[in-house]
Amino acid sequence: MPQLSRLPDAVLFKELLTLTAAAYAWTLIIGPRELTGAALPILDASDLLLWMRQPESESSSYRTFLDQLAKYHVPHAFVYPVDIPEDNGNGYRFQEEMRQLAHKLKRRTEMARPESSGNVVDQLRQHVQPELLKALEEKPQLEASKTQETVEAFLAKDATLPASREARREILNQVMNDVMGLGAARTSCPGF
Amino acid sequence: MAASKLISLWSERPEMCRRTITHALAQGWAEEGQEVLIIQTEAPSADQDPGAWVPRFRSLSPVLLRNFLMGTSESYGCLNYLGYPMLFCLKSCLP
Repeated sequence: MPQLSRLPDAVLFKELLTLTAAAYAWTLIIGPRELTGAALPILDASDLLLWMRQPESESSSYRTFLDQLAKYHVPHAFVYPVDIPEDNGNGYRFQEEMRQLAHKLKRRTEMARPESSGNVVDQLRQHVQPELLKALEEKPQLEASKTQETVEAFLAKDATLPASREARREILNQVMNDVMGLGAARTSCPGF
Repeated sequence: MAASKLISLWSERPEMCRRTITHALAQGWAEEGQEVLIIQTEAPSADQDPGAWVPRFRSLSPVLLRNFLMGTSESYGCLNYLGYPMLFCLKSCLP
């Protein structure tokens, strides 16, 4: 079995995935232990993120995972939470649950990434302004970071927006400029 | 072959059975005759640089790549690497 001394740099990683996409119907990547900026090439390449959780577990870690994805401008629509079977790899029940999961994944239509739509910034601004007004009621001197957080959270929940992080970053910049009164001026958003 | 799909698996704790579930999914699809590849991050060992072998497969057929990546005891492909895309991060930080 071939083994790699490190994950290739972004260009090589993309070429590696291009090669494997031509050869395989399915590529499954077991992600790193923690979701950090170092894992962005994996997020960018993924059609779907499976989140494994214990059936009775607290939802806070899942919430944290979603918040991290929002920070990296990965839409929440690509996350599919899966409860880990109790027998953990042994027995008929596990095999049956895996068979059902494989079936669901094959049929999951959400895996088709949405394409960019025109006038998306105007639509997003109209949708996000009520959220910002709500935040302003709590804190009249709304900080840029809080505004960005609100817009990021809204972006992450919207599955109809373009899927690529680059496109979402551009939309975020435009919306931030708009709602913060900077007009066409460009700002760069942290988190990349 | 239908359009290739890539799924990444994450969990709230590292000890959770991502690896077991990944291999179970791969085994199921492989038994249906579908071509599956598993890429495992943070593998315990790794000894090949992708920069050395990826260029060799640019002009070769997908079948040869599948043969190259075929696991010794599995009916699907496996690829291990040690850690994060560190070079990517370093490049991102450079001016």
